[in-house]
Amino acid sequence: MSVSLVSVLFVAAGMIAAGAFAVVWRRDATAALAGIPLMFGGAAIAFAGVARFAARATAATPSPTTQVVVSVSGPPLGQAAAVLIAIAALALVAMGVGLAGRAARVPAARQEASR
Amino acid sequence: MDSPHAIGFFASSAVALAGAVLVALLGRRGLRSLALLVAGVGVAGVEASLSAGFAALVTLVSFAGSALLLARPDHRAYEWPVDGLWRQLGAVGAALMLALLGYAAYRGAFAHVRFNGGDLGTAAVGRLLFAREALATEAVVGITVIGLVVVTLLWRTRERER
Repeated sequence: MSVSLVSVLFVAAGMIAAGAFAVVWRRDATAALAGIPLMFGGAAIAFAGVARFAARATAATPSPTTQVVVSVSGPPLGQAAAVLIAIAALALVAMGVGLAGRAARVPAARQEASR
Repeated sequence: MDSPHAIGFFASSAVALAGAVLVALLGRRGLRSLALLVAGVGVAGVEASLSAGFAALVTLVSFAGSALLLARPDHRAYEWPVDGLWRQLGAVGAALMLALLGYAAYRGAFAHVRFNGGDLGTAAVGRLLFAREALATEAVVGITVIGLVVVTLLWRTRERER
């Protein structure tokens, strides 16, 4: 049993699609917000997976006779992106909950007028 | 990747996907928040099995915070002003997106290398966030501050209205 980048990307695709389904399927805007962490979590998995598996030719060392290209894993840019995505997801949910709560208090006539 | 990591990856993937589907399908708010937390545990497990321990920790905190926010007792429902046809079209679009992303994943075996990082990678991620990618970090911090300010203002408005 082995894990490859394809397996990671399949899981990420499933998370993103489930999150998108939750967003579009829910009538309640606050309930639909639960899809945002799922989609962002899927993106974070993809970033972490690429950082784990992807190669980067970081060193092209010139020599008098030939060039030696060393293929190593680069700095964990994908992990950093996953961290930022997780923080952004929490902030977006907080903002969405606040805005949905505010919109729920505004009477329907004012909502129509403000559109 | 050795066998324990692979088993952890597949088990965490199953937990994450099951939690995500439950979030989309469950009707009760408390259960939905619990499912979101379960999905967060799964996502964190996947990231931990990919040697991204620090990202897993932050992701777990993010999902737990989101679940707490969505499970608030003073929940107010606000329904989208769209009819069922658009929701069904959106669901079909989500299915098409899954197929598209699945195909992209199938074609995604573009690299196989040995991983040279550690288990947690906290220092490396910190160097990236606060030195090399400082602008992106500041942008996310700005979004976070704006979100918190909006929540605080709305909460104060509500308290004033009571």
